[in-house]
Amino acid sequence: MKILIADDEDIVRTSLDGILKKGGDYETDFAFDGEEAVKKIGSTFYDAVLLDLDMPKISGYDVLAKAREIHPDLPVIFLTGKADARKVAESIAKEHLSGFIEKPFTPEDVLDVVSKAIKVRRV
Amino acid sequence: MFDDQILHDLKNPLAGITGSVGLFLEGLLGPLDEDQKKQLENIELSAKKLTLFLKELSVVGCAENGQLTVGKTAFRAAELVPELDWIKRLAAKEEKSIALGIDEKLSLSADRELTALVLQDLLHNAVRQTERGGRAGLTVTDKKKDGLLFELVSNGSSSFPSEQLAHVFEKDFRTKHQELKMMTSPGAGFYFCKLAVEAQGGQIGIESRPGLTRLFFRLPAG
Repeated sequence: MKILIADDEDIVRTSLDGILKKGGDYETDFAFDGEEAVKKIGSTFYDAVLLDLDMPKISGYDVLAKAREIHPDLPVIFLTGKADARKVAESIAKEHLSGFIEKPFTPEDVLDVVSKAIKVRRV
Repeated sequence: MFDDQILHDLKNPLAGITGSVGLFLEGLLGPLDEDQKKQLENIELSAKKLTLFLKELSVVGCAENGQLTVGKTAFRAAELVPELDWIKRLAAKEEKSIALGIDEKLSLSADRELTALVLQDLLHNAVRQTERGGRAGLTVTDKKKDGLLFELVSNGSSSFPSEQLAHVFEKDFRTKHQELKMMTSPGAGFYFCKLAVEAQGGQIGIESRPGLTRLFFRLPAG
């Protein structure tokens, strides 16, 4: 299964890459900003997307909205360090956000949220 | 306090640390010898402490700007115990222990994350106050119409002067009273706890004498 990691910080991408590959046997791909994330979501099939909220060019919220236009059932998980609770709640309700992972995270947090999001899509 | 964006920016390098160290500690990168495990656990516990301090500062900043969001839900007090696990491990490293007395059935109506942060802060402080070989304690009791009472006790030989007890939850108490620095929670500490408890409609207090310091707070029952 293939997961897109969209985060502008290399240290976060590297950490998530290791967790997903070693802990869940997932294949990974990367986007360095919101614009690249939208392009990749449009051109590649992913089983889930991990999306940072504060990214250059296009914010995580806007990437989610665009992703929904392309793939209504794609599991999208926010990576949040400073989540606005109201906006996250809106994203869950309006854009069917699959879940969120709060930074800093542990491998257990990441693998748990990702596997649940993928399972829901399959059901 | 700090700009919230700065606090947010600090969480990215912390996520790199907790995520990557977790990979080693969960055995996903192969077996570790005892020395490697010990040092990685040290990094993990340091990151846990930093995370707690950052989250507290973030809450204080929001509260002072009138932007603190309190999301009350009903949950069992015992559900918070796993979030105290890292403090138990920290205590064990210092040859101290923690006695928990929480009835499985007790539930409260509160903001789960804020309550967990307050408990982590006060339990961490109780462990710091406890003498090597000693035991800190956390109990939760049902006070019926007065809600749930959370009590944290430590048995250190130091105590707060009685004339200071009314002031320990003030913002600049720790800065003003360097002589009592070892008695108060690091970071935003007690000030954070007061803001977080009162934002949920609760009360917080302290009693202290040589050999026993008791911090307590009440929150509505669920």
